[in-house]
Amino acid sequence: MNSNNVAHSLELAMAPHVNDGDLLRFDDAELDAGERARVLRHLASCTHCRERHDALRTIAERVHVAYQETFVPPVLMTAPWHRSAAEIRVANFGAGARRRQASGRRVLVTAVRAAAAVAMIAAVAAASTPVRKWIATRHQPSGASIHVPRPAHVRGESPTSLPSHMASLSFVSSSDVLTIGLDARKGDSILVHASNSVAVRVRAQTTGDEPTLIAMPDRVQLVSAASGVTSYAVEVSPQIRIIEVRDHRRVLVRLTRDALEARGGWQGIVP
Amino acid sequence: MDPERLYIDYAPALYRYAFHQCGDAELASDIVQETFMRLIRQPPRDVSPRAWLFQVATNLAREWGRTGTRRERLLKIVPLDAAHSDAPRGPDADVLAREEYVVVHEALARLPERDRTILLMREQGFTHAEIAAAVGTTTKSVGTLAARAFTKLRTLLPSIRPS
Repeated sequence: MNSNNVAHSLELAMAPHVNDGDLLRFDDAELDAGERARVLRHLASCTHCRERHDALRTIAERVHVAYQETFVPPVLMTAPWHRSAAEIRVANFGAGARRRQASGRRVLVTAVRAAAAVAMIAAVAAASTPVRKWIATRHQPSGASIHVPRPAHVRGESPTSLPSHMASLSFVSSSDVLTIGLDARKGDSILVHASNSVAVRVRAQTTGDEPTLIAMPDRVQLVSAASGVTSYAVEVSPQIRIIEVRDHRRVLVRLTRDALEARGGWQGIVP
Repeated sequence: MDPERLYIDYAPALYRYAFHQCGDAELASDIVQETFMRLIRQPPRDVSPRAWLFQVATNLAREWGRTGTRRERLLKIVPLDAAHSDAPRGPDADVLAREEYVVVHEALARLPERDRTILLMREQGFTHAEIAAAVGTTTKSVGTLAARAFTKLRTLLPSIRPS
C-alpha cells in the first residue's frame, strides 16, 4: 500500500458519517457542489451510510408511488368558475353535511344530502340552462339484440386527458340508492363526487361520441357507441340495492339489484 | 397570472395534496374549489402562485382540522376511490397496490401535521426554502425534519394492516 492510499484510507476512517438530513438534501439537490462531492465520496466507501441512504430512498419511493396513485375525481377537470351553480352548491352542501356527520348523524345526513343534492340539481336545471333531452331506453334500437358484456378492462388513460366535450354524469348515493344524473351541457363539469363511504369508485377514460349507459349489479359504465371504449365505469358497492337514472327532472329508469342480477344487466342508449 | 393555466397545471396536484392532508375525497375537492375561488377573488401578489395555492390549501385543511374530528377521519377513512393507476395490472397486483396505498396513506395520516406537510410538499417538488417558509423553519432544517419524518413513517408502517 503506498502512502497516498494510506492517507486516503485514513481520511475515510476519520470522516464523520453523513447525517440523514444531508442524505435527504443530497437526494433533493439542495447541497452545494462541495457538500455534494463530500457526500458522494463518503457514500462510495461507507457501507453503513449507503444502507441508511437506501432505506431513506425506499421509504421516500413508497410515499412517491402512493402519492402518484391518488385518484383525482374528474369533476376537477373543470375549473369551479366554469361549473354550474348547481354543482358548486352540491359541493358546498357536502362540506356542511360532513360537519353534521361528525356529530353522529351520519346515515340520516347522507340520505338527506343525497336527496337535497338531487333536488338542487333538479331545481336549478329546471330554472336555468336548458338541459338537452336525454332518452334512455331499456333496449337497443329495434332489430338489435340486447347484449351487455361484462367489461374486461375498465382502466385507461388518466382523467386529466378527459375531453371537455364529454357528456357529464353525476352520481349521488344514499345508503342503498345510487342516483345517476345525466347532463349533456357541453363543457360543463363531469362529475359530482359520489358518496364518501358506501357507493362507488370512479374510473374515467377518454371517449368520443354518443355513449351508451350500461348498468350491471356491480358497476355502471358509459361506453362509446362507435368505438366501444369505456368512458366511465363506476363500481357499485354491494350495499346499493337500487340504481336510478335521472335527467334532472324525472326518474328515467329505476333498477333494482335483483332485477339487474336476474337480467344480466341493463343498457340504455343515449342519443 | 392566468387562472385557467394555473388550474390546468395545479388542480390535480392540489387535490392529491389536499386528499393526503385531510383524508377525505369530498373535502379535498372542496378545498381545491375554494382555493381557486380565492385565487380569483384575491389574486396573490409578490409570491409564487404555486406556493400560494398550496399554502391556502394547507390552511383550509388545517381550519377543518380544528373541528377535532380530522384525525379520526384520517385514520378511519379507507380511500375507496383514492387508489388509481393508469397502467393495467392483474387482479393480484391490483389488490397489492391498493393495500400498499392504504397502508402508506394511513401512516401519513398518523404523522404530526408539520411532518406530513413537509413530506407532501417535498413530494410535490417544492424546494427546501419553500417548505421552510410554509412550515416556519430554516431551509437547512428541512432536510433533517424530512428525514426524521420518513423515519417515523417507516416505524409506523408495520403496525398498519389494510382493512
